[in-house]
Amino acid sequence: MLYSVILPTYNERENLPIITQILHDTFTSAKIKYEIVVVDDSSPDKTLEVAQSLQKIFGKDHIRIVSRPGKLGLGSAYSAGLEASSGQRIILMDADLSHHPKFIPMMIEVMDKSSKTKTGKVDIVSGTRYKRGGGVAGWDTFRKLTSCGANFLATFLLATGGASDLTGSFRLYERAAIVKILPQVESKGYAFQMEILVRAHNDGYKIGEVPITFVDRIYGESKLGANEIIMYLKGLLQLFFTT
Amino acid sequence: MAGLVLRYHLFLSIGMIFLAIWKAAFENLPAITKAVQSVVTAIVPSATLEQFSTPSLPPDVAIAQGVEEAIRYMPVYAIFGLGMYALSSVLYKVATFEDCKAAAVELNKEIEDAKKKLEAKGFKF
Repeated sequence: MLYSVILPTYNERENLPIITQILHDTFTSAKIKYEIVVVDDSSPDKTLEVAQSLQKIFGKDHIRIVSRPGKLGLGSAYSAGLEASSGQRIILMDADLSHHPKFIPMMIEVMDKSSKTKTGKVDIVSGTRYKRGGGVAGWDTFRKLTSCGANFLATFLLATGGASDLTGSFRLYERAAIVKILPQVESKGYAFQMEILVRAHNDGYKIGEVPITFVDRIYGESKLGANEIIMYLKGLLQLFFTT
Repeated sequence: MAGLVLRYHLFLSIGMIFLAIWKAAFENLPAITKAVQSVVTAIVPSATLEQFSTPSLPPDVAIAQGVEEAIRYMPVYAIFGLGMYALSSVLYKVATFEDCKAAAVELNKEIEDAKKKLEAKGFKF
């Protein structure tokens, strides 16, 4: 089975080689066939060139590149990456090293074992920062408050199939599931990840979880301004009234 | 479970059920008051009841007033209770939120290892 990792990049010239190497090591030692699809939105820092040199080192069958003319948004980056991928299972994650590839084999194991459990086959495994064994490095209390508050609001107002981390972006999907869900998603920003799980639950897909550790961005700045919060609440309300 | 029952339908129905219960409580106030009075006088010893009453406010009347007030402010109590639930859930989550400094340290080391491997393969930073 081939696993496709879709990495949307914008100004990730520093992180991309490292995440690629770690992904390569993780998959090779677990003896899993993989490919990485880099979706670059014309990064001014020449991330594209970095991706091309990585392609020479790791091989064209391991690194695919989709270059887009500008910053076109995460949703369309995922769609473009999906289209260029050939794997039966898809991993969506951040390219900035906040997500560690070592959790991918754990997600695969949860997905594989799920067919034998009473609750049934799981189509999505979501990395959760909120369960025991998970967590975050580098967040102050205020940041934790906003994250927990946002997640509580979403789990209270929406039907989310038991998922504990709705705004997380590190997940393993069966191809059929993400291909069906992604076109239905309309929100932007933090609500985007949440909407994926809401639509998944709506469509009858089951969601499993693996605790993950999230290391807040090393080379970049986190963006959580008033704008993002308002966009999130808008997305929440929209889902509340339409699902 | 798509399409038919939307989330806001669910919340609206819960709201309407609550309103129906509230209305029923008002309509049955005398019966409810009597029930509460008999339960309280059966459970609480008369000495304690005496302590909390005054000549102008005998136990039965005090209980009746309490019942009426509780029913009148039911929605306020419900919203307040909900708010308390939300606040305590979030504060609990924040309090038990795990800090993984070890992960950050481990990551730094792995970054150095990865850089070495990449340079050995000919990658130029």
